[in-house]
Amino acid sequence: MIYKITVLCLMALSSTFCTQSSARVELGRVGSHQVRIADPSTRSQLVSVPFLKSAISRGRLDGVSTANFQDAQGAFAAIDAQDTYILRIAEGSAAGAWFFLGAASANGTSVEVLNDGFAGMLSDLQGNESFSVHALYTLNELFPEDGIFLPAGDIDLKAMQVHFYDGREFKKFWLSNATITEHVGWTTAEGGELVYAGETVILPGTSFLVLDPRAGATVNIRIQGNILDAPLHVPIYPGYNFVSSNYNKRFDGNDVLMLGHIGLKESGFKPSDTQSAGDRVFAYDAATSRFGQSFYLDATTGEFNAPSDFQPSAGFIVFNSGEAYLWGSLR
Amino acid sequence: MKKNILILFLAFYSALAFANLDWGGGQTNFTGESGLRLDRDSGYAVLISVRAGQLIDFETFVADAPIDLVTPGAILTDGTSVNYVLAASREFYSGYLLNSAIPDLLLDEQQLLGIAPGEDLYVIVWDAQTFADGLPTDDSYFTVLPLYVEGNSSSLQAQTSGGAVSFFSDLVFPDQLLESQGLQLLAHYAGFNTYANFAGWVESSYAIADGAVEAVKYEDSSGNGRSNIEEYAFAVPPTMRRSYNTTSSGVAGSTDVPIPYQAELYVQLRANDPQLAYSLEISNDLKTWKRCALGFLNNQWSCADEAVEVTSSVYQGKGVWSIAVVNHQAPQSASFFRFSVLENQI
Repeated sequence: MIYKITVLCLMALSSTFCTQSSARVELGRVGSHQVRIADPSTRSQLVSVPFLKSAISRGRLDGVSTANFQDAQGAFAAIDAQDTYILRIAEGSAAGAWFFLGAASANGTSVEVLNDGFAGMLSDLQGNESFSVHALYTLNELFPEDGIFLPAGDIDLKAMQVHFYDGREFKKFWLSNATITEHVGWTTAEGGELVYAGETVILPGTSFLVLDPRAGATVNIRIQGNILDAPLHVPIYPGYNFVSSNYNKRFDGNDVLMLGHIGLKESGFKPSDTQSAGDRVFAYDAATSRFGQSFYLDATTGEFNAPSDFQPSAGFIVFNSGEAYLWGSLR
Repeated sequence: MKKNILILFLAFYSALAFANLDWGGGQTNFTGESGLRLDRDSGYAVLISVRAGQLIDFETFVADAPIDLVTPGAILTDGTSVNYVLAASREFYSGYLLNSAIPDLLLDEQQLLGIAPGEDLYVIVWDAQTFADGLPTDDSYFTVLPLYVEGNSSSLQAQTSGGAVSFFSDLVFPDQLLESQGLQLLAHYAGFNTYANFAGWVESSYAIADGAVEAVKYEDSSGNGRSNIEEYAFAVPPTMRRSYNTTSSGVAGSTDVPIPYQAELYVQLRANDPQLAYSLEISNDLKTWKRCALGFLNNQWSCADEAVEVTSSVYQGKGVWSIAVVNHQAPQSASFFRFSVLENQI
């Protein structure tokens, strides 16, 4: 309920700013969300980033080839090699699709597309869609790594940790104080070395575990970002998927975050007859660090077997018993 | 009825379920034989579960092959104790075996290994710098530590079962109180033989070519008067000492009479070559010999004859044991002993 109030206030604030002209044009909405990443009663939290960063550029595509986007206005000029960017399709039948971007041309009129098919297919585009380009949040942006706000440690078990599920196992990061590493900051084991990993990007719509080694610690972080005006696809692969909802300006009504209204059943989530078979949604029980309540889509009623809502920033887990599909939180 | 069957099935499935295992060295800092902290080159950790019996005594355990000790999937059997090698890792950094660096042992991997619920978990940390050819030897150093859920040694030891089905991980590592201790690797793995058979021994000892092994078995390559097979089977020749009973007769002015005495025999035997069958033979006239088979079980030698006692079994390394044998038979005017070995053909 607190979260909803926060969003409504922000929306009201945004409306205030935009009512000064008679021809009302909204330039986009931003928001801020406080995420609890450590709680005295739990060992870990399953959280997510409920926003995208504000767009560095927007435009309308002037063409799509097999491996790049074109924009005659040079919208890709702002892309640098330091960050990881995505291009989000904002309208049309492919709205919600997004693509990883590689290197841009010198004049910014074209940009390389990486991993076509991850959250959208180039072949589904007309080539004239409106788009926005966003840098992705990185681990060190969200979680300060100076060891003051969050605990850095000699070793992993004494430090703040973040675990990302990669479809088979958890990839683990911890906050090193440089006792056994050559750096202070986020660290992971890679190829037999402890490497700096602060630049690790966090994908939209994914959730991840945060573990604080201190018993009794309460930590909240505040995340700012762009409230989207269109769906944002989240790939749901066979097996377990750690996902979450993003804030969207189309959120309206009290039941918008209810399980039956977040677009899962319209996206490919398969109904079943029992709790134990087929696709399922799991809440995360932070107290036990295990699955909490689970839900299935009743094949008879076409509704989930029990009501539940999942707030943006609160992760949950989707088990996909079949083929991969793209979940769009709004349909 | 259908529902009942389903519930029973689910209950059964749940009982056999596991969680992933996030294992490692926790907060313990490991130091090798050289005194240096273990790293990826010098550390080698093995996750062990106890399937039956108890944890094998790795200081004296004789593995079928040294590689079994460090290979995931290997089953180690010592008497009634059965231990499984579940996983191995070299993720040591500045002495720490980092849990976060070791891939979790996943549910499907556990199922492939045939893990059963309720198996106690241990970690064996080896000093890989004391390996030979990448494998444990007689001179390898290691330590064995029980694992606990989140290092809490006041709770029960960590086991291979998570209760409910979960692909989340159980975090297991040694007692968290070992955090600030520089743990020396003091245990000495003694249950390994460099030579698994005569061929290996003679080829290594005398640079004998492969095809000539049988031919040199009864030759004296070292020129010390003992055949090669004898040197292999008996590291040193048998010796005998008399153990005198110096009890006084109690008569004033009498001298101690050295009777009765016991003949105490010393010999070195090889315990790790299943082709060798040893016997002690006893005679009073050098004509008739009574044979007593010598057996090796649970790191102890014994003789089938009740009158003959193996009073000590001391491991000497490289598969060789030094034993002392006492003959409790009433002393005769003459007693003679000899050891023999029969090389079985397997």
